[in-house]
Amino acid sequence: MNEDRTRAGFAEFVRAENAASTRFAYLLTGDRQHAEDLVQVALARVAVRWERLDDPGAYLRRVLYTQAASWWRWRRARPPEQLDGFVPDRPAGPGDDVDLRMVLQAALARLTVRQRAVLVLRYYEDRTEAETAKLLGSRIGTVKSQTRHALGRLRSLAPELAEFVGRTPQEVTR
Amino acid sequence: MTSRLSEALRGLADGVPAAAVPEELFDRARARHRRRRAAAAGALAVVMLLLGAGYALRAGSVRWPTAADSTAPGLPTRLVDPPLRTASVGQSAPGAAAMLFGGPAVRDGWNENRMGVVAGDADRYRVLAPAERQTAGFEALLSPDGRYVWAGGLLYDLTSGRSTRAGMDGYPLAFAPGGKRLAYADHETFTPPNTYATPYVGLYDRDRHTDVLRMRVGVAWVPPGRAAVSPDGAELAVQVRDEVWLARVADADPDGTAGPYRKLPLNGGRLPGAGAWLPDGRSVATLTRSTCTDCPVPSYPRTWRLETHTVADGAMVPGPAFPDLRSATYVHLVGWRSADEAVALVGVPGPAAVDRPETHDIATSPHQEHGTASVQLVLLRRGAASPDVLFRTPAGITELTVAASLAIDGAVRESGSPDFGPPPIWLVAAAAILIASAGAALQSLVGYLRRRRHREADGRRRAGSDSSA
Repeated sequence: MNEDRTRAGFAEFVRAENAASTRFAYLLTGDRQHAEDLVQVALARVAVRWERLDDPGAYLRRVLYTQAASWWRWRRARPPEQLDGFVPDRPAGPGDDVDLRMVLQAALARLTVRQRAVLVLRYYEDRTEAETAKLLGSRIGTVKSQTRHALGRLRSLAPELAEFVGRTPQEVTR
Repeated sequence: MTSRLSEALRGLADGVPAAAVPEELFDRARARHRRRRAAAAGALAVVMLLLGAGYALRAGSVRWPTAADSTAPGLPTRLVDPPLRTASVGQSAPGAAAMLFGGPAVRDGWNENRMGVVAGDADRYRVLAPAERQTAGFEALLSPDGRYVWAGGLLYDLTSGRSTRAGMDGYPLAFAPGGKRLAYADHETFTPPNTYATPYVGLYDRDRHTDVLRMRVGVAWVPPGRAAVSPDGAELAVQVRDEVWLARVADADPDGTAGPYRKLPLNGGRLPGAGAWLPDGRSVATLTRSTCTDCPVPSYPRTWRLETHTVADGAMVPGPAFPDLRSATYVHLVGWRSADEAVALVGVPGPAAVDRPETHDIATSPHQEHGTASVQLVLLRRGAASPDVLFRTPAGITELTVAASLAIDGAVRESGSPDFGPPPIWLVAAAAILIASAGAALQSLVGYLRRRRHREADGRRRAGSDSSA
């Protein structure tokens, strides 16, 4: 009976978090297949610890980040792969700029996983520095410096993204 | 600007479909976790078992960094009871020993054959447990250099921790002063109703691996501690009833047997153990027994006096008398510093000791007189009024023998911090089980607290959602 309730609670959690966590994982890895694998691995970990978790969503993101970092380390030991310039499976809207998205994706791929995680949490999930720090298990100062370094690297990698990331570090302070 | 970045990131990710999550992911993940946890616990148990078995069955002894400071070899000034966790000689060799000891403090109900040794150069304590109970100084002997313990038909090499068969079939009587020859008694014969007899006393040569002398006895039982080998290893003195029988290797037949060439009367006295021969090899010491009137232990008036006799004619060697040893259960000579100074181990009677006559049926008595409460190492000087007490065993240690070379040289060292060696396998296993049990209990407690906290949080969430509905 208790197990059924636990299973039902987990299923509800998956329904609520699956889409967002898959996008989070995709932005971390830049690869849909890996993102899906990552989400399944992270959800399995959440399932194992379900009764002990106070904030399963936060734990899920933490696992996605650590697993992405682990996968990242594994990937760096392998021959580099050519990014395929993935185009999302949806019709381009009026405001969409496919070239710009490809440039952003390529630039994101050159960041470290931590830098990507900071950017995704701060600018995709609109989380505060404190929340980001808590989710990544780091200090606020680290989040600030990683944000600054990430934006600076995006600027240097793709000057055409300047209007997205700001021209000076001060411009990106929230 | 950052809002543009947010929009761009959403543009990248929003088209990504949600990951396909199998229905059974929850159950599969938890089942896999349980399997892995069980496999890890099993692997850990196997590793612990293999390590434990390897530790228990290892070929050599463990080199253990000793806490005790190594100094010049000498007799320690203090002796302590080896605790239950003390390593055995086989586990961790102590090195050449200064003392071999036993008694109620060393034995217990589970370790009734246990004896202790302490090394000569440091306070390294180790224990020995022969298959049968042996009395240190009587049936369990320490070689003059402290390297070997001879007990229960085995020679324990204290420098390597290994034990080998002693080479002969009998019980120990004495090490020769050089340590190469061993005097032993063949197993006694029994004639009902209560007559025991030792067929012969042998002198075994460790280099030749054979007996160089077998002195026929046959008429009496020779108890442990009643024989001595001359300094050159060529003669044997054995107490047979109320006489000391002397035999020479040179007189032995081709098969090694020989009868005594002389018998010295004891007149109710004793042969005082392995150090009975004087350094010149021409005299042998005996003990005469009397009764004191102003005894240290009034209930035990037995008094011993040392005398020396030439083996040529049995005449007493002239000179001032040795001091009386009053209220002493037994006297074993360890050796001689000169012809006028002897080092001896003396049994001190406790309240339970009874001064029985020398004719008391030894066959039904323990080898060491019952009631001996402690042992003293004393120096006996001709002309001195009383013996100099060099060492006395603490309470609970009632059996003692020492390395003769250290005692004769007067080498004494200050005792330091005792080292009891690596933990025995049963202690390692007990500690592992205790740690594993404590870990499991702690994990259960943490799990329980987490589950309770989670249940409370669930309850609060449900209460909140009910009230909002």
